[in-house]
Amino acid sequence: MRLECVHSAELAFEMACSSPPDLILMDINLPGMSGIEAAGLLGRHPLTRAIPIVALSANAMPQDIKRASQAGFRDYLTKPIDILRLLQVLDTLLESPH
Amino acid sequence: MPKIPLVYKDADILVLDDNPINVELLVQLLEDYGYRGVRGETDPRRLDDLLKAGMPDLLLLDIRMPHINGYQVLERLKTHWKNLAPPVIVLSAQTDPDTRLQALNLGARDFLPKPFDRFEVLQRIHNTLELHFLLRERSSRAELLEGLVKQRTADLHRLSLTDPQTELPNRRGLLELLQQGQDAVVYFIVLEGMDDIARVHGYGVAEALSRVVGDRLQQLPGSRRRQLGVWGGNEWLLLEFDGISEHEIARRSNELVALVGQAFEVEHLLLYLKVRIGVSHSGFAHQSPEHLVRLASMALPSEHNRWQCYQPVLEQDLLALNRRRQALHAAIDNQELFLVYQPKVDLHSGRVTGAEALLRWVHPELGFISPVDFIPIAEASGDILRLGEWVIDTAIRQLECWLEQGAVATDFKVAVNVAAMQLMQPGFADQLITRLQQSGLPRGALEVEVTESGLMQNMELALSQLQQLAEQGISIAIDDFGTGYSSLAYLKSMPVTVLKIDRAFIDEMDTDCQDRRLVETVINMARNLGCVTVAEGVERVEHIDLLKTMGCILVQGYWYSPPLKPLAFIAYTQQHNSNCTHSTS
Repeated sequence: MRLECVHSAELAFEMACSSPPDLILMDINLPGMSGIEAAGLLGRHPLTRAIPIVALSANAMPQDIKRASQAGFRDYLTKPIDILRLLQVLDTLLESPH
Repeated sequence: MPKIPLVYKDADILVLDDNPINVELLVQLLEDYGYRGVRGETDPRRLDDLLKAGMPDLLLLDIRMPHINGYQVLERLKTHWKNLAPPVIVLSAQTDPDTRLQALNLGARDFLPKPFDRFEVLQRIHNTLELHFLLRERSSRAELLEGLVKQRTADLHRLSLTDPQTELPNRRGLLELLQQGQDAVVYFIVLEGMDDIARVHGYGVAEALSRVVGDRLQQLPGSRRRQLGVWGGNEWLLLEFDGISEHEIARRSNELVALVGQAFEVEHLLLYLKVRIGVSHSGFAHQSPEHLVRLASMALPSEHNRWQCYQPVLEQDLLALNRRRQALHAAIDNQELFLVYQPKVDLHSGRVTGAEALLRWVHPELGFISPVDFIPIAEASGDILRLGEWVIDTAIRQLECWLEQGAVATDFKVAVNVAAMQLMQPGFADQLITRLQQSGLPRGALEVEVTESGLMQNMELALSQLQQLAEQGISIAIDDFGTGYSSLAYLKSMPVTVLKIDRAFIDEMDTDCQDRRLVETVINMARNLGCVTVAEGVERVEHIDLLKTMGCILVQGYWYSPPLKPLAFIAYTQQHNSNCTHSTS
């Protein structure tokens, strides 16, 4: 398994395009570009649109989750992260890309 | 008989003889001849008082006297009065060699044998006085000279501690003051913009400005003992003594920033300076005045019109910076650098027709380091020249490779960023042209992006280099247009072919009508000047729609793609361009 960490959505977008990962875990509240904007851009770029994105966020309001889903997040985990649930989500998304 | 001259008739002559008849005789003799300052004394014990009251020019001294004899007087003169003592002629009836030798040994100048011979007395007195006054003149001249030397030495010392332009203490003077002062606060003041003013208006104006700055900074309020001085060039120090208070440091620093922030009037010009201030004080552990100043300079903030007080953590920051600087120096050789290419899309055809090459650095331990962080380090260390050369070389080879593979169209353009320092290298244009001629690239395949501030550093040199490049078909783009001087004068004189509109204006152009109007104006102006416009930072469909309507030619931004590594770039470009062909056909 390869794990890459970056600290901004801009850099994540750039890296994901050049060496696409199998899955992206991303916060919503980020400095500069937000996770919502980034998910939108990742979803329409031809080199990244197939990569599933999972939100990890402290925002737990239903409208936050709805907005993320509309922006293209495949799943939404609220902080504190439930590790078992995270592993379950990873398993599901990585096994069946669709 | 030869005539005995009377040159020193005002000489003060003291006759000391216990025999009043002898005294009377001599005084009479001398006064008759014309001497006007003759005094007599018979009691040798009074001599000290007499000398204290006024030093005679000559003492005529008897040897055999009660209480104190002549030898003792001579002894006393020698040990107590030293070089202030008057010359002495010994009056003596005895002419035996022992007496003479002893008297001479004790400092007597001459002898007058008793009984006195008038002519001999007058001649010997004249001779002794002549010698006395001659010596006195010489020694007073020597004293005068010595005084002048002392004065000159003091002047030189003062000059060695003074800055000649402002007449404020210089580095040595400041260190001397710091050495002597107690509880000192050091404000390290860097005046930014002085060099530009010297370049534009001449050194005379810059010097006059220095004096005006000095005068203004002297007007700081408050009653603390303080001294302003010039540390070197555009670095000044303000020292305050006898107390350290954080509250006061903050107030003083803000006052300094405010004082420098106001316009300076020099020779009917209104001039502006920016300032950065680092502060330290003797409360921090420091080894010497120099060290204290170094702590203040370490605290210098990187932004203009700010101040910062030294903290020990700054040293760690500096160490980290140093580590990055060293790592960057080795980055090319260690192959840690690479280029990414951001597509430029033609709004009319929708196709990717070019790219901007951007530098990236991933260090094995420090990880990804943003160009925003490492480019300033490279600029400060001078490594930017090697980096710039590497970027140009790598971009040219990449484009050669793509053309060879047929991966891009033959009119595809790659733009490289050129730093101010590169542009200021006199051989830059020649080298780039030679490098391009060695490559198999078609004319016009390479574009050079320069920033406005890069041009401003040395307009003439920049102009001649850019003209050379333009003659070879290299297009010249102005980067971040609108954020700097954006002067119409240089647009007219420079062979500029591309204007890149800064992302700051694009970002909110769909919501902010002022930004929208600005972008539209720049696009119209560029069209009238025959320049291609590139909008940077395009991220939303609203941007695309507006820019299309305004007639912008090229766009670059996340809406299409972030910068990509070569393989990803070609994959993206081919996919994107084939979609365009399908949708337009």
